[in-house]
Amino acid sequence: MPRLLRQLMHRRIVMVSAALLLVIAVLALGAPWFASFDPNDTAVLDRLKAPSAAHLLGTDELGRDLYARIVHGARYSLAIAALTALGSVIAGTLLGLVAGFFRRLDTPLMRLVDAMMSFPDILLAIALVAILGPSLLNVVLALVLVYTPRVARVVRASTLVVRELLFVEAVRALGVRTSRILWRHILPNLLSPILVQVSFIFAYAILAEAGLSFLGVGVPPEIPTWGTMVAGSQQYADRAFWVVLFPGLAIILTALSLQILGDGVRDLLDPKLKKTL
Amino acid sequence: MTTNRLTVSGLSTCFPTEDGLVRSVADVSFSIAPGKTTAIVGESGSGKSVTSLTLMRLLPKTARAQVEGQARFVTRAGREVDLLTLPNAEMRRLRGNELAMIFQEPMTSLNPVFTVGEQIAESVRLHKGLGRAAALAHAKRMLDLVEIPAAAQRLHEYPHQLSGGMRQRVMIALAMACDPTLLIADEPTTALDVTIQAQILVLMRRLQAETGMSILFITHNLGVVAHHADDVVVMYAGRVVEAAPVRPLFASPAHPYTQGLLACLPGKAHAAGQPRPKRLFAIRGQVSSPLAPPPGCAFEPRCDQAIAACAQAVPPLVDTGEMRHARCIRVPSVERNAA
Amino acid sequence: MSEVATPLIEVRNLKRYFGNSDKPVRAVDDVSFEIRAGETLGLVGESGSGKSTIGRTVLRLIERTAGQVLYRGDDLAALSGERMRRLRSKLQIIFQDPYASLNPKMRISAILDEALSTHGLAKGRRKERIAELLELVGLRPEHASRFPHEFSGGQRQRIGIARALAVEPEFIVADEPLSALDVSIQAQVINLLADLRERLSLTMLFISHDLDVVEYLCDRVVVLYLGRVMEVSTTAELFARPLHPYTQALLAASPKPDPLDKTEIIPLKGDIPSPMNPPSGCVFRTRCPHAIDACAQTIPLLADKGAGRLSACLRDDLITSPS
Repeated sequence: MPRLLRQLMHRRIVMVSAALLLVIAVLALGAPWFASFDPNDTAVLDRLKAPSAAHLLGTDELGRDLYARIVHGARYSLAIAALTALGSVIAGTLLGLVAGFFRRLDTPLMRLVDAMMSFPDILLAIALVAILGPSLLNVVLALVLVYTPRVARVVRASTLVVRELLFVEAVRALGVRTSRILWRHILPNLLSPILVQVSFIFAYAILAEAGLSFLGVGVPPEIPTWGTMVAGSQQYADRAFWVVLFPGLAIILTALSLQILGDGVRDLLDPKLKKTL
Repeated sequence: MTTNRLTVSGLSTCFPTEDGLVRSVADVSFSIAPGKTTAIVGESGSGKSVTSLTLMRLLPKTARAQVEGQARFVTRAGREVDLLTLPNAEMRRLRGNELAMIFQEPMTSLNPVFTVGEQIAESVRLHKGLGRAAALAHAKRMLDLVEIPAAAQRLHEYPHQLSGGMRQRVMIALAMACDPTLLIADEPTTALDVTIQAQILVLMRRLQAETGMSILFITHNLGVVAHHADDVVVMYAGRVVEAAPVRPLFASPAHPYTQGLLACLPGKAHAAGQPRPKRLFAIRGQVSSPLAPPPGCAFEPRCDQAIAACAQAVPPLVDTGEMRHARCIRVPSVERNAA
Repeated sequence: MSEVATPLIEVRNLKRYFGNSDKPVRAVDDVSFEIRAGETLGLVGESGSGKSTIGRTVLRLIERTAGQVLYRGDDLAALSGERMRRLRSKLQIIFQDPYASLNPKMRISAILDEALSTHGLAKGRRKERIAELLELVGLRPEHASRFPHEFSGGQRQRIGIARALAVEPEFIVADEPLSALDVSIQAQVINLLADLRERLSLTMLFISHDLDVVEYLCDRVVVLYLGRVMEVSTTAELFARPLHPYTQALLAASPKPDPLDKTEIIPLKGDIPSPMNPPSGCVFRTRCPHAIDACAQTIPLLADKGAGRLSACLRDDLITSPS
């Protein structure tokens, strides 16, 4: 393990991304301490003020401090993305593991996955939110449904490989129970591809939520996520570009850092994966 | 007196790794006469494969190998060159031409997207300057030479369409295409079935008799060595520990490792015509890690005949008379006898 | 002498085909043999002979296509999943590749502990039992806390043997256990297997392509070619006077490590046919120096050619009585 970390640290851009994400996470967790203004405080006299000493990133159309909103918004955006990643990884791993290990369940489960994947992400999410109603949890649910198939496919592919490895056959020959084989021998060897998927889904979820909220079919506009911020302020963009720029930058930087980190983790784990297997 | 086709002196190959410098090959010297077969025998870690790759200059650049020593090769024209210091362009002219190599895994040594005929023809076009049609005709002749049935048809087949034995024959055809004077065969039959192995070995013998080429045969199979080599070089932990003509080596192995190796073969037990022994002789222990070589003789930790002096310094390879050499202080050398 | 007891393992007309139904790969095509308790049976053959498939099918790691595998008279295929699982403690296997047969992420102690706990063995004294097992195979108790990659090939193979022995088997399939090892290490493992076999009264099915090792370790030998049995004999008789032309060729093709040994190697012509397209009649006829027309018409049955020696060859005329 330490050797992996050492090699990870050699890649500067990955470290930069990791550092940035750490900063964002800390800001999000400790939002009230890092922002002097209340994100919901409206001050109509101060609306659409440019960035200044008092308001680091300016104010939005209702005079709310943009910096405070972004920092608080991070909580929601990151929470949605994290829950999505968690949910889709759990569901997808279960699906992929069962499909990959039990031959008879493979075809029906994978056809189900194919059906889910045949819908374009955004449309599927929009449809689901439209049916279930706009709320934070429903957005998470919709996104989990969108990303689960991707995880399932990757996990199934890896399961097919690991299942044929000699040490798995060896424990079967010992008489070890199937449940234990799945839990103790197959699953630990799937962690690498799963980890990579987690970081990518995290990134996609941030973008997806932003996109959905921007289109008005994401979380309700009262909840300050970065997406709703952009959505709500877009009509003022020509006068006060900062109201869209800064939330947008937050989205881009977070998603980009996650993807770079995901790339770094994958590159590192791939040759190791072959070696350890 | 005929000059040797290849004379290797003091060959060393080291690889710098994260965990230290690995000496894969150290102070290796041997020679091959024209028309003769020299076998390099060794187990894992002996350095036999790295030796052949070093001679052919086929070590990957990323390995950053540090090579020392000399490898004097006499070309067909009579020119003497040092394979290790030859400029790249000249080495490329020799490789696949006068200096050919066949490997253990024919599937990965042949390009899967080109037909068998194209691959042989490519080599001929490159080294002999023949045109397409002539090269292809020559390729067919080569396939006939290695006794591939229906050669004209096989010319247009891809490697995956052929069996393992066939592919190895194609490899030999490829190697023979430009009439080499030295063929390096790195475990050419290890991956093949016994009956196919027998075919390939007989084929190689025949080709050698017809063309007069020398063969450097790398293997761990002593049975193959006994019947197909003229001279034997035994390697252990990167060094030559014994070198001798084949019959004297098997009749009276000098180095304790060679003795142990021959004694632990189950086949040897039967050949003696005695009843099955209860226990096989086994060399105790295992090869030391190349990162932590013993201070003296590399075989000392496993040697039943070791004395205190063995652990102090690496013994030199000495001439023990009758064209034999051994790296062991307990084997009397010619100089010592003469003294 | 006591009467012939039920053989421990009996294989009857075993078939294992792979792939589609009209042109399947006939990996194992009507193979029958038996293994008596305490005996070591050698299974010899080249690629496509089906020897590895037989090893796995006997243990029901692969399901048979047809035929029966009987353990103490019971058909293994008729057992429920749970009964089979529990029976596995009696029927174990040692694999060919010591580098792949151990989970690289598990310590040796965990690997052996898993074997023990699967069958509820050594309750309350796992640690001691693990130490015992390691010593049994020539390793030390302190090796238990290490990972597989810290060991050499020969040591890993010993660990694999320890794992197989942990569940206290009666019968072990050794699937080419020496092929991946150096010659000097092979001798060590051969000695170990011979020792253990005697100490623990094991019955073994020893699969190998190395005839010298088979001759050393086995009591009887089954020679396979393209999924069919060519010859069955005691080791001594097989090597002294092989009856079947394939056995003769196989023995002639393995060079003895003695330059003075003058046995002429007359190699067989041609390649091993594909198991998808085996020759009609006798599968060996395409390479057999003694093939006649009749060989293409009938599949020769494995018949007793005298003194209990079985051979599947029509040409009884070639068999000369021992001088």
